[in-house]
Amino acid sequence: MARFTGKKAKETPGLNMGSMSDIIFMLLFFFMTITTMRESSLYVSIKVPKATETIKLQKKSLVSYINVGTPMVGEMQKKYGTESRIQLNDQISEVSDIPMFVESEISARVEADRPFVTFSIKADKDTKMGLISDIKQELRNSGAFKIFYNAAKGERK
Amino acid sequence: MEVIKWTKGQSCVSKGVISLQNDRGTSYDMYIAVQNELTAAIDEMRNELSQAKFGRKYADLTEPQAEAIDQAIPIAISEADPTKIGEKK
Repeated sequence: MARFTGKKAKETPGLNMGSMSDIIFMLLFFFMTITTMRESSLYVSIKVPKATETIKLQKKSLVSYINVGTPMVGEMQKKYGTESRIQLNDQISEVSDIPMFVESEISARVEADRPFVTFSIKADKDTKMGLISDIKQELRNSGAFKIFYNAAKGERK
Repeated sequence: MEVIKWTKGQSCVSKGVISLQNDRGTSYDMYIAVQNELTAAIDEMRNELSQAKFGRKYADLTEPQAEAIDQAIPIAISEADPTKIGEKK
């Protein structure tokens, strides 16, 4: 038969720690997936040109973007003006910063991936070719010969 | 014209080169439009050749067959330095 304990149960039952490890791991996996999907924010406004002969990018992780466009309205325009500018990673930069950018992007990858790093020019459709030519020239000088042009798949007119 | 020998015969290789030059003031949109058309044209030519030689579309070819078509019709686009007519300075 049941034994009676003299002590009245006045203490609140302790937290059940059994599921704590589950919660920790769930949070961990959550942050792991979130970190992969995050891209650097855009400070220039870009409307990519339309093209029909597009291919899907295979290894997105081995592609580095050179964003080209006019700085976004507001803070950015006050600071950088309204002319087309280049954005490398998180900073609005100059064409002369490209060689260093190429080097840092290549060295940021594992040894095995380095020869497969490619650069993609994601430029607004109203950008002048003068700027694009300068970018391509700098990429050529830095040894980045394989480049992509970002475009939106679609019929023109 | 250069002639390459394939396992069962010979075929001709195009030695034509497309020279592309733009002005610094040209819009990027126009440049992409031109590149798009060139790509479409080369794909069309390759499809025609693959239909003629293999009876299949270029996309349905095996690796060595596709390579052979690529050799016959290479993407030979040469880009020259841009002219400065439309540049604002």
